Amino acid sequence: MTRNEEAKEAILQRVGQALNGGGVRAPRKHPITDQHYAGRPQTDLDLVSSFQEKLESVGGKVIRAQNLEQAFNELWSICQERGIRNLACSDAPSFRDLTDQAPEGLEILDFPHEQAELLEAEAGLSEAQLGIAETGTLVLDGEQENHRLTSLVPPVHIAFLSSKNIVLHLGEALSRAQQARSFPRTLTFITGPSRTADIELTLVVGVHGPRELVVFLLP
Amino acid sequence: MKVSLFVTCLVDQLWPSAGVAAVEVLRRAGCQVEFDPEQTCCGQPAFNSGYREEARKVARHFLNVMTKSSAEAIVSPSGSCVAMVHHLPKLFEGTPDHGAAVEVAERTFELGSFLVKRLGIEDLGAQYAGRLSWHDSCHGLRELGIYEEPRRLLRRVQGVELIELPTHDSCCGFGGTFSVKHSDISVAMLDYKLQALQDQNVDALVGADVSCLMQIRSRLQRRGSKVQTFHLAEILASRG
Amino acid sequence: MAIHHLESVFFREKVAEALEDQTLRGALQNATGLFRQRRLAATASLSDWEKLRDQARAIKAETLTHLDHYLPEFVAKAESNGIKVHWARDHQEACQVISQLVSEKQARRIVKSKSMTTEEIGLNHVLETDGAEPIETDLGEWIIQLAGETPSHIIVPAIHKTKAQIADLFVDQLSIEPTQDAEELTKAARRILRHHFAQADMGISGVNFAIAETGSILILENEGNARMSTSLPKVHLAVMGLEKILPRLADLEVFLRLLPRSGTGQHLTSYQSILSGPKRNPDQEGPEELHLLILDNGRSAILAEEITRQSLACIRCGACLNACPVYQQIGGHAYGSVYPGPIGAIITPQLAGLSETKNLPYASSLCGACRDVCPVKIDIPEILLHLRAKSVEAHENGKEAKGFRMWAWINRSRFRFVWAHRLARLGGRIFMKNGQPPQWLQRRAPVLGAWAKHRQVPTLAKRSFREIWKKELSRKQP
Repeated sequence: MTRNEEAKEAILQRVGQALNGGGVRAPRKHPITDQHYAGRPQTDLDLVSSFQEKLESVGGKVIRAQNLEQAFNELWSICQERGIRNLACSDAPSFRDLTDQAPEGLEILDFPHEQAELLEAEAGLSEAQLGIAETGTLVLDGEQENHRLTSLVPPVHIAFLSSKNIVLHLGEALSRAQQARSFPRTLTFITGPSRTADIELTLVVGVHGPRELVVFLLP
Repeated sequence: MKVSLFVTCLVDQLWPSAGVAAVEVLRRAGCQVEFDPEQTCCGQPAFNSGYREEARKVARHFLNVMTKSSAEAIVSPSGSCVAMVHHLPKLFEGTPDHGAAVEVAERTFELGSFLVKRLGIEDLGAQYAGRLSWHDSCHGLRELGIYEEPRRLLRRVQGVELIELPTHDSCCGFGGTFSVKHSDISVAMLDYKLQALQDQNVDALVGADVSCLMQIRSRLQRRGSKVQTFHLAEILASRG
Repeated sequence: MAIHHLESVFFREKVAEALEDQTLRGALQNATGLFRQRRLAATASLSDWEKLRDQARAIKAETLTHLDHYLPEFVAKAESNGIKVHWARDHQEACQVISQLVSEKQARRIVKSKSMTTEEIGLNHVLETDGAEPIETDLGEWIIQLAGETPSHIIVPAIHKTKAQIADLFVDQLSIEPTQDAEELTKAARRILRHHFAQADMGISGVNFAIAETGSILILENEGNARMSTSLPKVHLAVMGLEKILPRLADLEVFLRLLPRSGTGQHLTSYQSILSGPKRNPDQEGPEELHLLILDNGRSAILAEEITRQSLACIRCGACLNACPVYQQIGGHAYGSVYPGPIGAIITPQLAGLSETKNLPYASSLCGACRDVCPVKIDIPEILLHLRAKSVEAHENGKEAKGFRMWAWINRSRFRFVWAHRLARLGGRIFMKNGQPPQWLQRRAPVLGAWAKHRQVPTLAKRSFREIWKKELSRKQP
């Protein structure tokens, strides 16, 4: 037996002995049987405006766009306004061949990125597969897109989200992920920019991740 | 209603005026009060320090005394001791005294909540002129859930101005043997609690546990403070 | 079974030091007060907070009572996801396993995101001895690492350090331009730690929850350093105690509502990463290898009794620290363990044994504020009392036991009770001067001395209640 097998056996044996040593145990029965979260309030609130309000309350920006074209035009002007010189894109199909569309002076960095390139990128672009209205959260499904790094490493993260994909609660987002054919290898929840309060409790945004989060809400 | 007074060892020996006032208040509320001088202590000091055997010995004596009483309710001017009595069934689990512990625990009440919750009485015709502040003792508040009752009683006392300290529910630092085992922390906790006292210009701090009150009074005296300390019963028995 | 760098035996000395430190006490009062306020506001935003706590407790109770089912279920699923699972019976074995992995992977620079469990096993120390370079990347943890200290709060590790102290530390160790601006200091940290992320051969993280149903681990954070540490290096190693399991993915909904609200008062932290394996093809992002170390280190023994089992339900939110009036005065270092505050006072002795930690179960006034805020409803005072009883059984308390035997003997009889108090009253009248016992008596009776140090000694009443009752009250019965 290898050391690891030995250790595994010993630990599981200890756990079993500890639990079987003292009297009768309650039968195994998960306490929540029918609903994920029985206390879920019934609500008909406007998902999109709730999402926007919550995201803004944690320092995110929301821009509503009628269609992709309008979103990109808006995106280019944001990059120009802020003097952003390059944009690292995820491998989402909508971001293919952006180089032709991008204005002069904005370099498009296509996926996959060299690590050094990514670390120097001034903004990152990705889609989000879901939004959660209750908390203003973006859900990034690593099975659908490679966007864990473009959404994290550059100081500005710009995300495209379809309003149709906004769900009310965290639980719904989790159960959608679970319904997929194979459970996503990474699932990332993002609620606002990166933040810290480790120095005298002073809030500072953009410590390791983006200091700015901009979400384009598409139909 | 016939009521048996569990006066507690601390009230008996250190703060008898709280016991005398409790009798006065209960009588005013129409109760017939009995007191069995065989009683000593509920066993809490030993229990809280980890001496279960010693706690059981003393608590058994307490149960022997209280089971003799036919009173409908056992009433005590201490939230902490009442909370201990409510722990007794667990302490005696699997022993011949368990039944007695359950029976006694079921009819043991803290004075203020007995008046308000059981008897439905809030106005005891008391008068006291001054700015009072209520100290929520930990066991009363967090084990017995007593919050509103003493405040309702105090609001009905003529002349009382009830001031809420921002630290009304923070621990006074007594904690039984904690107060001497970790005397420096104990007093640091108390000083934090008392910080707001000066700004609010409070005349007296009122509580329902002589253990807390003793800790508070002893510190205030050492600091030369003029703020007084009273047991709830003393204010309720006061006629001005 | 042990906790690295355990100094709980020095509790008294450390308390004295902490109470002297006015900067520390000011910082503690600010921080704990602010977190208490934020927690209250955040919990008020949910109409069914209490119900959520009940659900969380029930889920944890189910999991822990049947850990012999859920732990293997989780491991089987995680392994089928491609996660390489390692087991360690104690902290030494854990460090050996990690050391070996580090040398196999020829890893030199290792970026770490906050993990209490790696602090518990003293991992950094071992890695440094091996010649590797572990770098803490959570800002607070990094500050503490640069200063060569240990964390003093579960959520805000550097709560005891002022901005000026941190600025001096950065100027001294990192050669930055002097500044007092938290934003500038944070920028410097971002710049330097980025460099480390880029060069790291391995990332090490903790685990907040491990989901049996999907074989996933979840990591919560605000800064993004955990995402960096688990995505950029080729190898990711996660370290978890064996109690971190939740049966179902849906359980997260309950716990993700409770944890941030209880800890920082946020509705949700900035990031949650649910990781279920390494990358499956070269084009994907993420580490090539995902290793998971499952640690026992005394936890399995805690499972045996129902009363102690609940200690393992802890989700490390830190709410009990902020609520604790003792912690508010002395801070985290005084506890001498990686786990401070009320939760530390019950966990440390159970993991490390009572003989070196016997002060901890007594470092509480039993006020119960911790129990009220605990999102998983751990009855901390009940466990403290249980540990005190264990400590007494193990004869850890010396002279005190004699005192309590005497006390019990006195209190079993009315006669002895009355006479003991008469004697005490007489003694008080003879020896006490203005509420102060004489020096020689304080030395002979340290309990009296400890009380009298800051407080007047109360005098026993001239007439006890029972005397007044007998003479006056008993006859007045209406």
